[in-house]
Amino acid sequence: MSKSLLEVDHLSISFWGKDRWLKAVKDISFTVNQGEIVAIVGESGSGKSVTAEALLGLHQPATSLIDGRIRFNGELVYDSKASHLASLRGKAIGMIFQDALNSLNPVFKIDKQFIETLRQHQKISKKAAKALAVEALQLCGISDPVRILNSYPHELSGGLQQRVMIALAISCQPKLLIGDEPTTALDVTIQYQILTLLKDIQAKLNTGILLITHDFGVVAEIATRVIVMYAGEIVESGPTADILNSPRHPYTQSLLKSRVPKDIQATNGKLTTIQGSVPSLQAMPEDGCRFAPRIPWLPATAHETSPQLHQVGGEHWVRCRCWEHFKFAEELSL
Amino acid sequence: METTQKHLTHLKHKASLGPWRLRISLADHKLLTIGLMMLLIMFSVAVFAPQIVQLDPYEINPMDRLTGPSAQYWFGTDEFGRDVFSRSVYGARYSFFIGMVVAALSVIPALIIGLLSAYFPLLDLILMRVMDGLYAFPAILLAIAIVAIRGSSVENLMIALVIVYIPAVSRVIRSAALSVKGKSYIKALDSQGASAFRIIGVHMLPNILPTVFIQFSYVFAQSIMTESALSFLGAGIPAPMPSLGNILFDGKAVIYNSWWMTVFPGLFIVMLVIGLNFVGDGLSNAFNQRHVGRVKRVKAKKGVV
Amino acid sequence: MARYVAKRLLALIPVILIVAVVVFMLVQLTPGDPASILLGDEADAASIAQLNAELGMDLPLREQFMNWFNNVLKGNLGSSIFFKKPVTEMFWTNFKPTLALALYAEIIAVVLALVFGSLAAKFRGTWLDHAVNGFTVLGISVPSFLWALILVMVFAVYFRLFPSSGYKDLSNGFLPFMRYLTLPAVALGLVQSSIMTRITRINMIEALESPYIKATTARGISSRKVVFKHALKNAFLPILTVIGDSFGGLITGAAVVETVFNIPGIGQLIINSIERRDYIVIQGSIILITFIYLSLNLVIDILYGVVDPRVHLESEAS
Repeated sequence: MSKSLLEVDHLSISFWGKDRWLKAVKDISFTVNQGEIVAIVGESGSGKSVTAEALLGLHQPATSLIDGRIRFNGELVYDSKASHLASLRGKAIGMIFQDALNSLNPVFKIDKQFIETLRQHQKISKKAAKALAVEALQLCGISDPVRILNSYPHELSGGLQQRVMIALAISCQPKLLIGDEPTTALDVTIQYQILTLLKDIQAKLNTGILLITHDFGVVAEIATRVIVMYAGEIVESGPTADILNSPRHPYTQSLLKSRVPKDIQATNGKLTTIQGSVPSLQAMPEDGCRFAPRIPWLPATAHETSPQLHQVGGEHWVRCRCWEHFKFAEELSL
Repeated sequence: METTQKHLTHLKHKASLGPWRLRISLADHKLLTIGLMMLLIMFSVAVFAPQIVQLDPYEINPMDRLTGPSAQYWFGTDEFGRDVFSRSVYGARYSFFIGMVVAALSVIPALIIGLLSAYFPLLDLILMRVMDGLYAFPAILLAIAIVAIRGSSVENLMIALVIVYIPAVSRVIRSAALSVKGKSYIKALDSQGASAFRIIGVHMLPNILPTVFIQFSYVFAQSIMTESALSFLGAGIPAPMPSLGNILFDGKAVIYNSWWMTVFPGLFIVMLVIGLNFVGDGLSNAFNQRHVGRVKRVKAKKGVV
Repeated sequence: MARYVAKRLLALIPVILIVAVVVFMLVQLTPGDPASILLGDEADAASIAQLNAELGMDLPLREQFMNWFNNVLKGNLGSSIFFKKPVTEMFWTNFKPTLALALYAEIIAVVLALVFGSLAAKFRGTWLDHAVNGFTVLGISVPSFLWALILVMVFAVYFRLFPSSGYKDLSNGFLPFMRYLTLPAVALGLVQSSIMTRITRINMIEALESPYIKATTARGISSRKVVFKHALKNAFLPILTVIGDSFGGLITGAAVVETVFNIPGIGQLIINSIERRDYIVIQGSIILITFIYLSLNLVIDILYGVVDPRVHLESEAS
């Protein structure tokens, strides 16, 4: 049993919306262990990015409310001492973002950004920090690290920027790496390279990785475990193979089905979409199965009034009971 | 369920009002309302001056010189024994009137110049060079110079201020007009053969109207400040006409003992200017102007006073 | 980079030309000729005509302008009709106090603006933010001479901490120099500081909401560094524009403050020259001030390119 790095326990995140609190994430729990790559999948509005940012306390304290427990290496992340969060950031937990160009400060050269980060966490000389930076860049597959260090962010290509960002994040040898849609903005070929890189890093440094994405292709490529989120809740979770081969929750099934298939001829050129849309933050229903409105052909009795997570096999969990009687609309020839 | 302390403590302080987002939306309308209220008060003072004032602002009472506020002289008296209250009220009246006229006479030509420059590149080259040249001048000095040349009177003062403000405002209007011009529907109209007049008058003009109003209130505020500065220097409203700046100048000589000659006229100026600035800012927020930075550049330039 | 500078310099030429023409015309429109004023009311027409001829007043306007402008370009701004001293000499003597005042005011203004603007942005919505906002509104709405009077009333009259007027140059020692300049500098700087603080705040709010700030925080960089090193450097560009604009405004705003505190600076020089109809001094001083002002803007524009590497890369590409 590998060591548990991150334990999220009944986490809820709410934001202030003019006159009341709006719950973006409702009561989610999950863990990330050392050596694992866990993926959180969902559309925009599912609350996955919000969760990732909450792990490092990146939300504005004035307008956000975080309920529940987040533990890293057994210790509470949010405790009465704000300094604990600060000690985790960058050192124990590293984070990479979707848009690399916007995550690197445009007015500083790359080497300065490395040196600053490294010297924030350890007492080393600028030279030593630069050497570590070179190492990190090489680990990320950059063949001429010295030239890169001497450049400004906007002088590099998208893929290179992403590698730099990853290198920055791992430069302090974090135990956990959080990636918020790190490949979404990249070309497919570069995407593949970056994912391979992440797998590589995970193997070499034995980090745990939490990957936020909306793309099941990414999941299939590198995740060991998957967590599917919809409208702020976890609707399904389990090992990747289980989820991909036997998805249970209607949402998971719909997501998998709506991927553009390799053989588009077979579907007569039609793409499957899920009707309806994710409820907005203001219109979020309090109780009941949140996915119900999008599968209206299912009777109300198929859903639980207060849907819970049920174990359907080994590590595989599903929310609500609607999956038991679920069929796609076409299959019911509606 | 254990709740995280850190976030809740933050909230306790804001529990009643909610976090900043709530405050900002209230503040938007608050600014405009407060500004308008202050303006209304000063407007009433200015307009109803003859009704409010009992004592003659020009009357000299040497026996009562430099007395503090009393039942008879609400704001005290100046070095000639004149009632500071009536002088301040009339001074406010003149400042209000002058400010309004200057703002109107500046904004209208600036509007035309700005619009034409934005639309016709050739005109732009010529007009903007001239405006830049005038704009390069230190405002106060230009005003002083003009008043010195033509003599000290209310008309000359207004002429001087108008000459100073037209370049500044026309620049702002020009950028606003340019950003409208760059929008695709203008290009579409142009390609459909719409006449220049039509494009400028019917389509561009309404879109820059918010900017025009905002500039009006800022110029109004600025000219009140500049006028009082000029009067303070003796190049503004000529003595013995009462002007807030004049009274302040007289008050300076006796500042060690007669605080009322500084405080009361000063208060009037502040009320007028803050009121106008609030209205300008409030309008700016209401119309969601992103030009806030640019508009303030005008002030940064002229905020010399 | 060189192209960038060259473009800016080229744009200046038409402006300088127009300024020269306007200044010249302005003074020419002054009723009364210098000779009459110099010689007084008793002088007869012949002496006036003679003096005018000596002063070159009888030449056609265009010629007068060309003569004058040529001399200006050579650096000869003429001599004061009244004092017979070269304008340049008089100007620089009076410029020193104005410059000292403006610099002092600018330093106060910038420090206050950067600190309070950034803090207000970081702690947006709290009492600090509202206090800063309230004070800056006041700062903008009160003319600097009124601030000067208020400061005199509070600190010179009531608390007797500072003198209410006068000027002591450095030869009398640094401390008296500062003591006499402090109230005027604060009065002058307050207005500019308020404007700068507001701009700083707005730009810092925008900078702090940028994604790279989130990423920088995620790397564990301390909050203080995030605000004052990262956010500020990015927000600095527009703030720099304001600083540049404001310095010019300070030099001229000094004119008014100088009158309140009786400081022998440029303001006094020009105002007195206007009263004396010493048009040569007026012309020369205004040209010089405008020139200084324009050069300042040029320097700021160049600094732009240094602070933000994206700027001159863009202009090189265009």
